[in-house]
Amino acid sequence: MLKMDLKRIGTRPIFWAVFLAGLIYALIPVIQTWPHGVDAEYYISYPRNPYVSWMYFTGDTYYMYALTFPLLASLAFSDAYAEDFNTGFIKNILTKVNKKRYLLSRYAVNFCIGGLMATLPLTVNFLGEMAAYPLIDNHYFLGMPVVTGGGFWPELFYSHPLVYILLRLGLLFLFGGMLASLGLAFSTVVKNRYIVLIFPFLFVLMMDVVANVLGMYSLTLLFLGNVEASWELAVWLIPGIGTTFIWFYVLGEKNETI
Amino acid sequence: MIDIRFVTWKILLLSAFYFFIILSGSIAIAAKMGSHSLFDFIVHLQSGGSAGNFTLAFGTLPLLAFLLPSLIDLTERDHIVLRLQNKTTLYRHHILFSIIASGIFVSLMALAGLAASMALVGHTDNLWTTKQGSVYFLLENKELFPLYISKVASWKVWGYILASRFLATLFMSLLIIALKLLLRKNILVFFSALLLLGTDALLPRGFSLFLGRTRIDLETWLSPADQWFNLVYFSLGIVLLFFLSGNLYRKKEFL
Repeated sequence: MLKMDLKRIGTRPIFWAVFLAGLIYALIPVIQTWPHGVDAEYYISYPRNPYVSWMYFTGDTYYMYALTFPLLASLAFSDAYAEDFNTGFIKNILTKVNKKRYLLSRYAVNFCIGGLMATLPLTVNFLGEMAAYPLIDNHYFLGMPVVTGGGFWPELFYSHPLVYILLRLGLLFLFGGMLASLGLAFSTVVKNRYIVLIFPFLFVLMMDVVANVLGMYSLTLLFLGNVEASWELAVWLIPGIGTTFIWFYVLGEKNETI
Repeated sequence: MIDIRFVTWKILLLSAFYFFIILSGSIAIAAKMGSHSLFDFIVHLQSGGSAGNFTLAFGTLPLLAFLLPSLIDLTERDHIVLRLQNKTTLYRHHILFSIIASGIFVSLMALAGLAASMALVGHTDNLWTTKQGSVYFLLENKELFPLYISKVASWKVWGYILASRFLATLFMSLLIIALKLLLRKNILVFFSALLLLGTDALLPRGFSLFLGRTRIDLETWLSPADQWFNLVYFSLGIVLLFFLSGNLYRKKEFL
């Protein structure tokens, strides 16, 4: 089942379109920040490092990335269930695989692909910046004050920057997976693939507006901005992932497929 | 008009609900920024407002990028093309729908601003021409205020806001139709429309090709030449896209 899903994802043009968009988001900032005219003494003067050059903090394409984040997560595979249903392909699968196993596999693959596609630009960008700058420690007073008092865990950023980057990527992976799962769960009630794919995007926009009105941190700011946050992230992620799983599993099980 | 027959009540209600949420949010942002009179609620000079860039980028754009490609798919069917007997007639129906949709969006933005002003400050007066208004409050150099008084008269502000919003919405619609003709896949159209128009609208002031030209701040009101340039720019863009899409339509095969 997993092998079939992976093969199927590889043949989807939209997956490659999203992949290409992710690479463009990631590489434009690398090209822009690539050091020119470097000689042996360049690195003595404590230049930038990949942590502070990461597109999360300075990238010109970051705004586009943040705006299209829900689409990056959902486009690759969130309409798979609706596609199986509309084309009748689900009947073929269910003759060979138990329905519960099919639903679990569909959810897990979609979650992972959504998370991976959403974090791909940041990962590639960090690797690109690592090719340009040495992995020297962050120093607040030497031109590296990107995470300050009101930012996201500044102590961790200056003491264990690599852990900080991995934590950020991990959180975004979960957020991307959650949004992809939202689209997948929505496909149990709406079978129009186009609506299924854009639903997470519209959901995030609406939540952002509501949060703004209520004076709270918006979803985009909380996950994609550099703001002080801790338990708020769990408040979104745990119910978000749990609800989408139960929604998809229960309604998917009830849906008449054969 | 053929397109409108395919807009179901369900889609209409969901779109209205979504647009209402975005409009309310945009008005709330303007209110938070400090709004005292009508035009603060319509296009706040700092951020928000019922006809602000926020509404255009997060309300109008996603709805158009969702509705137009779906309607084009529904109308471009064998029996409809055979009945119309002319490909360009179908294209004109899409354009007519876009014009009507732009008119409806702009009317809703204006009405929402009027209603918000009435509900939140109890009047619909234009205070921008007085020292109680936001223009005077936001000006760093207060001595420049007399320069603004004649340029922010109600009819001028209404004229520019309505014209720029209408033209920008129509421009978005035509660009989405052109993208649909080029890319075919609805989701790619949505994604690229968002990238081209959405990010351009929300980036800080600077060079802009698309919706960034609808940005309104203190400097905009001081320069009627800029305002005219923006209106002409959108009008030319609309004409260009109209002929480009028309040309693509003539080559398109439906049967």
